[in-house]
Amino acid sequence: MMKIIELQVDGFGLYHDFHLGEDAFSAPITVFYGLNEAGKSTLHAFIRAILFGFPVRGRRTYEPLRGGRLGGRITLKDPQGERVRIERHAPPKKGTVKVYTEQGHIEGEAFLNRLLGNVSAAQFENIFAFSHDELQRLETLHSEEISAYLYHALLGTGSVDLLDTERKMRQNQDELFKPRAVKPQMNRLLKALEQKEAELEQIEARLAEYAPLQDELRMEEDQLARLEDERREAEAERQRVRLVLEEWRKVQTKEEELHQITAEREILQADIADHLELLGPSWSKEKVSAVDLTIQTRDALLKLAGEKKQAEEALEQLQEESERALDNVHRLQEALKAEEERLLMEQPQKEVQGDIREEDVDPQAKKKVAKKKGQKRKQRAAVSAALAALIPAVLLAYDQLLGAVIVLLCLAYVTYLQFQKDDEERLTDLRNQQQFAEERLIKKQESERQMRQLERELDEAFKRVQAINRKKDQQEQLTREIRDWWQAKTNEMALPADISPDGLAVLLHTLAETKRALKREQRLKMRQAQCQAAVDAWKQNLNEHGGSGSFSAKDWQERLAEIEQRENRMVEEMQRRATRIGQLKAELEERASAEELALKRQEFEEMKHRFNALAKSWSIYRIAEHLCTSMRRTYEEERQPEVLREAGRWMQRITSGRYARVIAPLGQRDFVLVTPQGERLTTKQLSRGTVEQLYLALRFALVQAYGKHVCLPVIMDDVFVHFDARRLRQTLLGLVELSRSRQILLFTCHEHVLRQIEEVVDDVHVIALGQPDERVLSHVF
Amino acid sequence: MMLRFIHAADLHLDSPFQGLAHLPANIRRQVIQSTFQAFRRLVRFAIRQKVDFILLAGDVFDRQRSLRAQLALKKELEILAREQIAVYIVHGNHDPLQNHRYPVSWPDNVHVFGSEHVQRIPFYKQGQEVAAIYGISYPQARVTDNLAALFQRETDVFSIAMLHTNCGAVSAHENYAPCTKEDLLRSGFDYWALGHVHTRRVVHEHPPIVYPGNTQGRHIREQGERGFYLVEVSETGRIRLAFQPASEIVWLEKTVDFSAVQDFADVVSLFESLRSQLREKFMSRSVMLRCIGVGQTRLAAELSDPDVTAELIRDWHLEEEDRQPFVWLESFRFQGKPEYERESLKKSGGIYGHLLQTADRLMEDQALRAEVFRRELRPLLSHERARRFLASWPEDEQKEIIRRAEALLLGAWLGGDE
Repeated sequence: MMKIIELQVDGFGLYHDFHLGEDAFSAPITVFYGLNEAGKSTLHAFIRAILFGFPVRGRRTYEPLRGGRLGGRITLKDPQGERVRIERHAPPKKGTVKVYTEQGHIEGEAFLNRLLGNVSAAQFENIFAFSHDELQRLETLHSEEISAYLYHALLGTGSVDLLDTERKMRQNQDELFKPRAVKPQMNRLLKALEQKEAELEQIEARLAEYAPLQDELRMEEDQLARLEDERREAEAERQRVRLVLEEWRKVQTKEEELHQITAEREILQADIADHLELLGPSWSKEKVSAVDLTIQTRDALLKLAGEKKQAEEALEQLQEESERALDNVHRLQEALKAEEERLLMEQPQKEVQGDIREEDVDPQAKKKVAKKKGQKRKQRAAVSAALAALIPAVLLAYDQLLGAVIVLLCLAYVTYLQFQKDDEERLTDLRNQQQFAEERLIKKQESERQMRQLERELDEAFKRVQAINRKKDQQEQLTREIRDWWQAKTNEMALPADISPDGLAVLLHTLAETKRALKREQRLKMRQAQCQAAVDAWKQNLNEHGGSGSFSAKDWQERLAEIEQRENRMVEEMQRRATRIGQLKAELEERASAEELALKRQEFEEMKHRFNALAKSWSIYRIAEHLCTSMRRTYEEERQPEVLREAGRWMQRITSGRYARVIAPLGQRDFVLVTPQGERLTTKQLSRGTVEQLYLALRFALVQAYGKHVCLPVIMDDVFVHFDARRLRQTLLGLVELSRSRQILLFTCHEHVLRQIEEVVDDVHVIALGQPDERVLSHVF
Repeated sequence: MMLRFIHAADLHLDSPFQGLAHLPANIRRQVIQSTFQAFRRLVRFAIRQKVDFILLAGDVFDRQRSLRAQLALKKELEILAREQIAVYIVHGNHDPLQNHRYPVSWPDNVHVFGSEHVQRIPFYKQGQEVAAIYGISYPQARVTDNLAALFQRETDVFSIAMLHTNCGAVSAHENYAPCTKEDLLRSGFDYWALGHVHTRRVVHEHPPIVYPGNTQGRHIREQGERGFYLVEVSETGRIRLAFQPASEIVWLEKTVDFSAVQDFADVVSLFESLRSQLREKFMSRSVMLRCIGVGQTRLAAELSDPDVTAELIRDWHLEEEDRQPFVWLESFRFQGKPEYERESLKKSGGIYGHLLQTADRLMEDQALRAEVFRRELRPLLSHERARRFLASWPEDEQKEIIRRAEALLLGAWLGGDE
């Protein structure tokens, strides 16, 4: 039994230097009787404060009102009977405690705690040292709070609220994980994990494509190589076809050329035919071709022809001259004859017959001469007439000087013309002179002279004829020679001998033309043949390229187009494949070098670890909750029945058997009183007094339960207010019993209570507390 | 020196790291490179040391053979081909011959053993057969036959057997191709090049039966230096093993005493000194650290609070995220005690005592614990979507959960009392 045996207040509320000695606590039950404000509650608070520390927050602080240092001391007698003095003084606020043992040790708080059986201040307050307030307050509180509070009171867990702790632990769990929630940390992480896992699978699936991609790459590369070969082949073929087509185009031009040549040759052949026709039947192509038509030859030939002509003309001229000279002889002979005759008339004619021979010989020539003489005369007459006509006109038209000049010029011209008289004219003059002489013959003297003159002239004429004839003979000789030469030449060249020099020129020209035409024709013929040969050869070649069938340019064009299309297709496909190869390589490279998977996997591991760490935290909260729950259960199921049984006995005693048991249904924070008949009454169905008796009974029971560990004094402050006399008596009888094992301090302001105590309890010490000091109180309020 | 070769196994190329909450991009990048980096170190070492050949005793790849892993391996094998270093590979449960998702071909210097029967490949040096390598691969992931029984030494030449096997039923690894040390010794090989068990272990000295361990740790259960063995065989047949570390990132668990810690400034400086200490020790390599806090401290309740630990870890990470090499805090767990006297609290009749009694009963009664966890965690564990991502919790983890729940409640109640 732990017993308070001495109490010294240094300063606490209205107490100052207040002392209660050992005699005050000599009885098992000590009653403090005093009217209101006598300091009962203060004394009660003082005991709590010394043992468990000064109240800090939310409570009355009991600053000393009448001086003295806040604090004091209580001397306890421990179960072993040893005295321990507990001194506590403020400051600090909570107070410093010194525990003086009988052995003279000075100990601290820890020692005190052990001494008080590790009962907390709250436990002490709820179970061991309670006032009516605590009971009364219960009634007005909300039911749940009541029950929670009751449980504290009941279970003696002090400030620890198991239910509240359980709730907090559950909250903590819920923040981490709830099976069907989304928001809690672990649920979120779980979702992230699943996503990450899916990502990993995706990457792995992508990586799994490595082998197929590699296969595809190989395939694509093979295909590309194959295409490259095919394209090269196609290119070669295209080249070949293009070559063939080029050849074909060449053949085309050649053939065209051939056509041209043929046409040209035909024209030329017609020309040649025309030419030959022109040349006459004596000329054949061969003959023409054979003719030497060099410029030299032609020149020589033409020169020869010219010479021949000249020679012949000269010969003719000489012939004419000869005839004229002969004529002149004849005329002179005639004139001589006529003179002679006239002379004969006057004189017998002495004219020589022989002179006239010439005219006989050639009457023809005589005529010619006459004719020519006529012509000349006519010409001259015409000029003279023209001039005669012109002069007056000019004279009329121009001034005198110019006219004179013109006339002079005209006269000069006429004079000139006079001097320009040719032989013929001279002959005419001679004749005129002859005539004049003849006329003169009439005259005698004249006639004879005339005759002599004539005879001289005749003689001269004869000589002249002779000279001309000589010349003529020479010329004839020359002409003959030239002719012979010509003959020979024309024969040699197969030319008609009778051709004139002009004709010759034309002939030669024609021949030359023809020959040239022939030569050209020959050349064309050759070219035609060449072309033909080339065309034939190419055609042969083409046919060889084009296979057995005959060559078709259209087919080849189509073939070329087809190849080009094929090539284009191949190039496109190659590009496509090359692009794909690039892609594949990139993809393979990416897959090969990707740290992504490793990084993600590592990340995944980290997330998993975080998840497990959180799971562990969750589990800690969970297990903590479980510990609370199981503790609570223990209280409810194991300890509680013991306490409740005890409480039941207390109730039975207090109510004189009206109630037999107290039970606390699990899960309900309430108590039920059971009558001996089995009737159950909840606290709500009970009167205030009965409820307070129940709570008191529960506390007594708890005090007894704690008594196994520690027997602290029980302090009650006017808790019997609503008790009727009978139950009070019963309660006090119980207290007497209780006081055998623990010290009991009762505070009361009720006289009837005090009387009852004095009546019921034998061994009790009553301490009357003094009247309050009004001065101090007025200061307080 | 007659023969000089490298024995490695369990490269687990392209394996992610487990148990990391959230990595910054640059560290994540290093992490995903680390398995490759370890192998590159091996290849460089092989070239520098002019080894005769390299043995890769299974689980070259992780889970499925990732394309990236195969192509990266191919690149390295081609380098070895140029150096005329032969490579012998057997495949194990993680990279069996079947389940070839992305087929990749290897250069000519590589021999991959088939799964039909044990193959013997002679190794020639200067025209002389100086070694014979025997091996067999897994056809599929689960091989439960004792493949060791198939090995039969055929010639007198130095004989090496390659096998991916769980020798002596190592519990941490799945029991594939199980065999006993005696099975292996019976076959009379000169060297057993094993793979599968990730922790380096010389099962037997003469003749050597060796697990080189994996080349790069990938979670907290694969702690410390990891690499491969350089094996040298003298003319007289003496075999010398030399371990070569290869991993770029070292996993580590450190226990730190928090007893002296008075406030959070102390925690910060404690962490700082831990970081610099590790940085000094591991120099060019990075560290994945798990820190376990022990000791009795007034900050116990706060240090047990998930929000507070998260904050501490975040602060640490902010310091390290741009570092190279880094000391990354994989996790921090406070397993110390609060200042209150648990035992006296437990004995008190109050609610604290009751809590501790209740928690202790759960800790001690395995059947009860199993039942409670099964029942209480059902909303999560039976959640169709969630349970796919949940790791199963070993007993320790359950106990830790109970202790932390207890600390949580005590912290809340005691703290609320002040």
